[in-house]
Amino acid sequence: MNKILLNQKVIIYLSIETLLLLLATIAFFIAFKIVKNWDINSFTPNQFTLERENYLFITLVQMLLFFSIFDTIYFIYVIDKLHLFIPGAMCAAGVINANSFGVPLLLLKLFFIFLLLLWQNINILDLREKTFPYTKIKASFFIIIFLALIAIIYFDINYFFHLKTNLPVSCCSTLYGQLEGQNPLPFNLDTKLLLILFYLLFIVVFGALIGEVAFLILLATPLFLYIAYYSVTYFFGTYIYELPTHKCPFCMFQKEYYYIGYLIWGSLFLGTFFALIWAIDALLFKIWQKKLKLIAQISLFLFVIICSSYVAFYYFKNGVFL
Amino acid sequence: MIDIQNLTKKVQPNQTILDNISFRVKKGELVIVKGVSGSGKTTLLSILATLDKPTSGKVLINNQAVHKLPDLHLSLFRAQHIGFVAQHFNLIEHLSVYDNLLIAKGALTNSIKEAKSDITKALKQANILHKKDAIVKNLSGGEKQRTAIARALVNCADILLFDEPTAALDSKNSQTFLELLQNLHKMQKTIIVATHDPIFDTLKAKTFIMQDGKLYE
Amino acid sequence: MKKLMPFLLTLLFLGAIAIIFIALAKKEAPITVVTNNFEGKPLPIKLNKTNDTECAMLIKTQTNAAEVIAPDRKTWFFDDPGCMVKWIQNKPFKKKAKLWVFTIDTKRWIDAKKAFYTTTYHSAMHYGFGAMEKNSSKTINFHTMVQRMLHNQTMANPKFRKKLLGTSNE
Repeated sequence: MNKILLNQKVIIYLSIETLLLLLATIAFFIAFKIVKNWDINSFTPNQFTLERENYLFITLVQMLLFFSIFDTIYFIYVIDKLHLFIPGAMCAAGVINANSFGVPLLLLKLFFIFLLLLWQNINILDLREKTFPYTKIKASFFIIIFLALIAIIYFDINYFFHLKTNLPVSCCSTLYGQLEGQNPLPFNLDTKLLLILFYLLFIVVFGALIGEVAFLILLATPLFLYIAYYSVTYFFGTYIYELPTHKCPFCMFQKEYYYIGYLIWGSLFLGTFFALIWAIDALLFKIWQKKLKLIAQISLFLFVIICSSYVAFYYFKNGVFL
Repeated sequence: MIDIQNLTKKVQPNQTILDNISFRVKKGELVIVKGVSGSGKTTLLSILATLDKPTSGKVLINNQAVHKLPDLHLSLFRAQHIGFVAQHFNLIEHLSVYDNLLIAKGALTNSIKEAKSDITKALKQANILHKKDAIVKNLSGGEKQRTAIARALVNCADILLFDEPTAALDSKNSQTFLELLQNLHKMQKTIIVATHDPIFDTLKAKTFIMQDGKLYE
Repeated sequence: MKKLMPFLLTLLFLGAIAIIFIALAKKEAPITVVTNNFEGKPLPIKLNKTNDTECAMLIKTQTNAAEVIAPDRKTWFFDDPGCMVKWIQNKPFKKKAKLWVFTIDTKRWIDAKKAFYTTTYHSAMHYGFGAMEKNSSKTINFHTMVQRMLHNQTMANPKFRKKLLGTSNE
């Protein structure tokens, strides 16, 4: 038996995943029935049953959303703790790269939360009307979400079953460090250009939120997310660790850095996800949601302030940049 | 105003409580639904009060198929249009009369001033203003009923539903209730009373008889 | 201002896109692999612009450097014959690939399998193997070199280093 699979935290994590799958399966069957039979103008017993089950469906997916957010944070916590069992790993970076299933799993999990948030958003719009106008769309959309969950479970099982405690893995410095002379940054950027892009795109996204320019948000936010990932890993991270060679997106989840990673990555994903959902609402449904916009603005602002202040504090304390 | 077509309610596949009921009630009408206990009167009232959902059939109130509304809209509709006086009144026993009404009113308004004037008006209409600050559990049966009626009136509901209103009252209090009912009828409220008490036979009202889940005129 | 804002922001966004394109066009990344080497001959190494695929360091001198040319004409570069041996072990084309080293004594590319290796040369990764075209009493053949590399019997191993330096009369 694999030693990893007997780890208490892994058992808890996999149990949560099983529970999620169970919830989602029930929701999936209801969604399937709704897609097939929903007709709000009908007064048949079937339709009344469906309308009641619709509320069960909504509750299930909302629980799924709640648990998935918790579960993803917990997943990061688990793999961070697992580095003790895997030779060579110093933080979650080594553990997640221990086999080829780890990184896709994490990305899928984040994407899954985005999908669920988008679903929840359509749900709110749906219940705001008197005629359930988006219920069928919602149910069809959930079927896609269910498929994504199946993929996550597939990667989950493969990832944890293939984690070997006897094979040494690389630590973050080899994974995110660079070939000598080679540039790890995308688009052949150097650090200066990366930072210019980072702040420029932040201004564009933030300004577009203020000015409510939906199409621009839809274009600029994914790019901002991408650039922000590299900026944090290769620039801001070095100031968090106060070490110019320490480039890692995962070490900041550890106690030594006051768990700041949860706040940094959390605010980034919350901000970009909500901005995107706001833009989708505005373009697709012609609904401009003030609250969503506000949350996106606050999160993104918080994200940039936290990152920048690490650099600023370092400079004030030491009088030099790294 | 209220239009019911082919209403059926089953609790289990083979246990039918309401069997294919259809009837209409016009605005301002007083309707008495008579029937022995267990005949389905309370279930019918619960469905009209939007507290329960039918198994099949249409319930149109003001041309709106109320059971097709999302929960949030349904709650709002119920608060605005329907006053329901349950058999056991369902008041909050340890609160005062005034606070019981404030809870109902608070669902629809944020203005304390507006709430205060509406509550006073409702208490006056139900003839219970003098007990405004009394705790509900210290009230008599008749007073509790009038508190419940005041609560039903506080949001200016146009439909009032009474479930066995005289079951807990002595004959003197029942007579007072009849007078109150006639006053409400004069105020152009649509009223439906479910009862088995013969005292209502003296009233001039449209009467239905309910038996084994079916409705007869 | 409100009318102007979408326009200004779009302009900023286009600016960001422009930065990306300028950066893309600006300079080439270091070489790690060259494709379509149809002649199958060792390529001259662009010094300080080529990465050793095994140890990720830039190759600073051609002397004692190595190259692997796979059957599909892909070419990889190494700064130390030891790196090349280490790298090729788990490759499917291990037997079919052509291996080249740049010799220290004759300063030219020769077949690595026919070369001889001194064991105490100051090589880039300190494995100690220096490629020679001419055989001598201090050199070993390719096969021995591979065996020593795989069994950690190199200058990089402190214990073996002592043994090597002790037996030689340096």
